[in-house]
Amino acid sequence: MAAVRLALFAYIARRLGMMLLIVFGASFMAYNLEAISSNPLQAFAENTAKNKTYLMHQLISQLNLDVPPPLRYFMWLRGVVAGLWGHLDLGMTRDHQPVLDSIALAIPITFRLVIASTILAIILGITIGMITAIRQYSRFDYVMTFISFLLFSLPVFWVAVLLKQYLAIDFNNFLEKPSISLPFLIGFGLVAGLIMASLIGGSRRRFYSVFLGVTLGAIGLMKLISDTNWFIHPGIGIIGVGIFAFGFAILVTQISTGLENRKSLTAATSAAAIVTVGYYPLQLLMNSKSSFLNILLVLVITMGLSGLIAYFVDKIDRRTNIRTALITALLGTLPLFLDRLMQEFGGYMTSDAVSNRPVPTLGQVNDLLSDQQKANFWVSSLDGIMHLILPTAALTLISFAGYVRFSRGSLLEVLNMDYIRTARAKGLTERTVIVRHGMRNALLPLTTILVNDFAGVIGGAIITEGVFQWKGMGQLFNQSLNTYDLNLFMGVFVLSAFLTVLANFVADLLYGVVDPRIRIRK
Amino acid sequence: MKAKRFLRVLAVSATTALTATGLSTVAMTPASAVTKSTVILMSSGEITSLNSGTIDGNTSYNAQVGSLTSMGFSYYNDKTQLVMNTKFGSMQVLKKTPKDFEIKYTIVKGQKWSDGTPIDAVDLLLSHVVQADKWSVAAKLGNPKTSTPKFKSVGYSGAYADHIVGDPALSDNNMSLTLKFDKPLPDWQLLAPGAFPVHSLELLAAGKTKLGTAAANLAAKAKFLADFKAKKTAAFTAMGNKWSSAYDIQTINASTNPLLLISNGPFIVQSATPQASMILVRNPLYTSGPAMQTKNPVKKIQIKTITNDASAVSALGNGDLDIYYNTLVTIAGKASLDALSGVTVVSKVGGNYSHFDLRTDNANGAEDSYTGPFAGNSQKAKDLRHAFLLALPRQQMVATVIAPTMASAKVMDTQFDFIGSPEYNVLTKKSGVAEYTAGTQAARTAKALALVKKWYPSASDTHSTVTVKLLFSNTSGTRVRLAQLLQPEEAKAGFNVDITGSDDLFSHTSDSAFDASMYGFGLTAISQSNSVGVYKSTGGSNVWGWNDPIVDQNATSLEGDYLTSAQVTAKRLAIDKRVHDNYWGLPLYQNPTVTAVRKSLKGVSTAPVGNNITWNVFDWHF
Repeated sequence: MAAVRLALFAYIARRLGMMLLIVFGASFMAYNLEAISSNPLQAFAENTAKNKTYLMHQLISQLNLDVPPPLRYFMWLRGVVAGLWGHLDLGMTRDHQPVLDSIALAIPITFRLVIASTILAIILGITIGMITAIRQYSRFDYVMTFISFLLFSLPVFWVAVLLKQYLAIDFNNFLEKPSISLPFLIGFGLVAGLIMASLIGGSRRRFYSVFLGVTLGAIGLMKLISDTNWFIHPGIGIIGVGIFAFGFAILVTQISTGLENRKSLTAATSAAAIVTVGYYPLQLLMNSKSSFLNILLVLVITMGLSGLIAYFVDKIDRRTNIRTALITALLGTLPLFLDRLMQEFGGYMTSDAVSNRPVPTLGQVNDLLSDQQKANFWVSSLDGIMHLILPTAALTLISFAGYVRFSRGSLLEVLNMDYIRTARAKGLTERTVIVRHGMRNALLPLTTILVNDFAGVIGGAIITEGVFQWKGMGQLFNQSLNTYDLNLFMGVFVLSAFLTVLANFVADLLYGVVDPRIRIRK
Repeated sequence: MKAKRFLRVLAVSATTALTATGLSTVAMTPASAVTKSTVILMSSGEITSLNSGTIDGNTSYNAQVGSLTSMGFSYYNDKTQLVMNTKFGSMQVLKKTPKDFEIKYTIVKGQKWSDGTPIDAVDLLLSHVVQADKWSVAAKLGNPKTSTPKFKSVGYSGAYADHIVGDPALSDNNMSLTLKFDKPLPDWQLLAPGAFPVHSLELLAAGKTKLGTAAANLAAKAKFLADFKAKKTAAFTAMGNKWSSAYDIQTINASTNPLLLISNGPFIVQSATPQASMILVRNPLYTSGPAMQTKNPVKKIQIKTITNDASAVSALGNGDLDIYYNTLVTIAGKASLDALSGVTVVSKVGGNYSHFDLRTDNANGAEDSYTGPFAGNSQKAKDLRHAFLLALPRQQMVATVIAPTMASAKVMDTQFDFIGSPEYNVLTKKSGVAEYTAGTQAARTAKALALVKKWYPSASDTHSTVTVKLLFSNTSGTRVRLAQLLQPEEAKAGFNVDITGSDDLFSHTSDSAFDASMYGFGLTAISQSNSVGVYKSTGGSNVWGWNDPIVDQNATSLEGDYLTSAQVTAKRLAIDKRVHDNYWGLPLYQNPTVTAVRKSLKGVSTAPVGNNITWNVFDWHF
């Protein structure tokens, strides 16, 4: 055992050493390529200033342009190596800002932009991918395959332009007089009906009845929304929260234990009941002075109570019941928060900073909000979310297709395995076969993609950040190229290079953890 | 079957969830009308510093903020006239002899900085510190010509430094300042010192982080005057360090040192988010310029950094932006602006122009020598240059590339003045440029072919004999399009134009790799010495090896002599004539500046030079 541990340790040490070498080599090459190919004096070509010589002379001495790039690299490296004893110095940008500060400012922005869409794309992509695998060659499968290939092939800047036009400009115009026109009502209903009917499938008769039902339902719903001016004063209310919570209860139970397990269902529905009953009391906790802590507190209350009830539901399968209840409570509380955010919408929209146009086309926050609004957790969160809508939608749309195709293929492959047949032969329920034996194994190969995608998050989304003017890592990188800012370029580059190498390493280690068949040889 | 049931439950729960979104709480009052008082301006580059006078960072974007927070003796209006700001002060020539030129600058009494400190002529002294090389040397702050001075200023080694004599003298109870120059200077009005809150610089250097009391501010100002008079190296080194880097801040909020934000302009910086936005609010003590509008006034200005043009257009369409401004608008960009409703789109010539030039010799200081087809002043070289310029389809280039963004676009015929000015008309009528505008392009190209045939009898419109390498920035779509337009026309005259171009304009303007070039120049002021550096043999912008004694003689005079406007025109005409006699090059066009302003905002009109969009912020109102 000790020998294995030692071997593992040696392996990690060897890999870490390799990583450093790779990053060093890559940074040396990148530095020289960028230094040779870009000329910071470029702007002087079109300059007619009388003291041009003086200005050029100052720039040359400031950026050490008289030192050959390979040597200049080591001047830069000195600051990086100093990081070993805690004095990391990546130099100054040409704007006279420490590169480290610029990166530190950009990382959270990129994170906010990319994390949400990556998680959304993963959840949506894997869910849809798995459903299409289970219902291979169904109508739904064909529709989703078509949609995912379509989205996969769209350039993000174009998607962004469409989203800006329809979801921001047109929607904001619509809000000036928010009543939905009849053609839109009918079109929306038909599309919703079509999607639902093909999702449920079954016999032709069933298809048409579902189609008709959902279409009429959707039209009625939209009409209600239109007539109640819901877009200006949105909200879910206690009834909506309740419907959401009980919906989640059924969903979670079905996936985790199956609806046949009445005890689990009881635990889950009690959790839903707690969230619904807690609607009014919990509003007190979510006041204008709240912070992120209050959110946690609300979650602790709903989840704690639900867990407690689940504990007493039954002695058998206690863990399962508690787990089901906790997940239901967590998901069920989310609409509660959403409802709370919606309560602020009317005031937010009519404030001077927003001027009745709540969906912005660019930026990460509205700096014009008053101090009072900025201090209100709910208003500032709402503002952040409004700014996130378009970029998140754009990024999710173009990136989820990959996950759909990958998880579909992966699950199909697993479902044809012998152990699935064995599981079925044992008489396990279909739910158990798919969720326990199928999905878990299908997720294994996704590990590599996931880890690398998260490493790529830091590199930023250059185009998306540009189109939506989010000043994250991608924009920083772009700026470094446009302004011939070598130090800034290297800062972004080294960080991305390091994270990419690290992600590969982590993925390799994770393989060993998630798949017992893969272990390091002695 | 079980899988189906499983999915059915999934789908039913999803439907339930969807339905739930529709239920609403009851409240149905429509959104109330908002009275606007905030203007959102755009900056196409990051604002990186509150001091646009340092060599670090992009000064033109930073200058936009400066134009809102500081007022001086003059500003340019939208007709490129220099307007004297009599609310701030006045200037008067005291003495004008060939060896002595004295100007007295007087500050209007009663003005205050935004922290309440009175503005006087002591506040003009810093201008001398950051412009006079001699003073920097004398105060042991470093010689700007050979080292990095303590004040890392863009102002050193210019006309001010070359001609200033001695130190400025204060008078009239410190309300006036007199400068002495070694001879009468053209454009002396442009050399007027700018005001800077010197007391805050002293306080910053002393490590203060809060606004001083009235007494402390006056004491700091007195100390500055004493330090200035004594040329105290230590004091000015400390101030220089602050001046050069303390203002380079991108995050501004309540904890920012307020000493950095002192203003005498109509606005004062309130907050800033790095690289994204800056918010300015009204300066209640502002009296240093024309009074602000009082009816539906602008109370707040947000400057948003939008580096992506398409994003700026959609932001304007959505109300995320009120004033769009672009000096490099594309045809597609202009079309999408025109499609917006509720905004007024105006195209106007700006301070940047494009020009086309032929190399005659190696550039100043270039190590390789130029031996291409246009080299030297032999009859053959002259004929080839002449032919090349004749076959240059300037009208077509302007009509194709510029007219779609500005309907009134015209070919530019002299680099000395803006199209349409009285002087422009005189110059272009007499300089000989008419040869390139008269008749049709077909006739001119035929004439060009005849000239080429003189030396290469086999040349024809299908057989090119002379290869010309053209330098232009091949990363610019507009330039590439222009090159593609001129190539076939030049081919008809027997020229084979290599339109590979380069992505490194700067390096190639100082070597001899190319025979011809096409790029831009920008004007930041209207002055007597405009474009002189382009034609003078030793001029900083003459990179084509042009050398002509008559041009040099007139250029030197335009640069240094105090001339009447008639004399200026005569000398410019003399230069232009020689330019065309030597067949050096032709101007192309003035780049259009496109602004798009929300219709509810009144009074916005761009100025081609100077503070561009914000020059008349005091006239803006809703």
